[in-house]
Amino acid sequence: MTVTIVHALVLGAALAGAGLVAVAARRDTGAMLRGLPILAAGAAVALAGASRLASASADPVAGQELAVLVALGSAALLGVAVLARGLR
Amino acid sequence: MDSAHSAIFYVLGAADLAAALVAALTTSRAVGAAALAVLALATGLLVADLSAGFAAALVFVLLLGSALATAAAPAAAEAPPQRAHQLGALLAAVAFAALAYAAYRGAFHSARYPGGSIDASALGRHLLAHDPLALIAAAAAVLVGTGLGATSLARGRAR
Repeated sequence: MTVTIVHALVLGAALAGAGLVAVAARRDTGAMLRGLPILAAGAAVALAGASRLASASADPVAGQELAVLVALGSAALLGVAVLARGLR
Repeated sequence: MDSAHSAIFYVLGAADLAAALVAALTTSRAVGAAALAVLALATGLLVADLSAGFAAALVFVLLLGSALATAAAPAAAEAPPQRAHQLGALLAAVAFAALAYAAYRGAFHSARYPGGSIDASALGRHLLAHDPLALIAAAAAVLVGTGLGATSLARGRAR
């Protein structure tokens, strides 16, 4: 079965859902922190999938660029979250 | 995508999802960090399978760094359970259902991908020439976040 953009988006949504569960439903702050990279991974898969499988020919790498920026933002947010956790 | 890339996508997707669920649900910090490392590897390979090799390398490094940061963070006492946590889990399920529904019902434009499999130069041109402000902002955020997180970890170890 050939991969379509729907498969990439559903996989990205499932990863983001798992990350949301960790962030919103876990009591342990370490588990909540683990949710941030999972969310970023879901976004990266969805964006790279959109870039590869449904991109406009005029701007084919915009999804890849956004995936990189989301991963960068997630790393920065994780650093701040680690600081906030250490201050408590 | 041809059948080989499709098969790789499904295998890596299953591994990715399993690692994400383990990382999200486990109570052990070591197991969670290991699951995040597997998630980083599987996500990197998955993005590379989607013909985004350079982005895959960057995503792999950033996710692996996140796994190491969460593994090194000092342990904290668990907060008592609250109804808000159950509501959060419910909202996460609703968000997944809404995203999956949008993916299935959406009318997406399918197109042939004109780029190569690594695309480092195209991605670099896009980041540096098309969106330099976003790149600078993200780099500054990473610099500040990494510095703050490293300071916090070092302070926690010194105590």
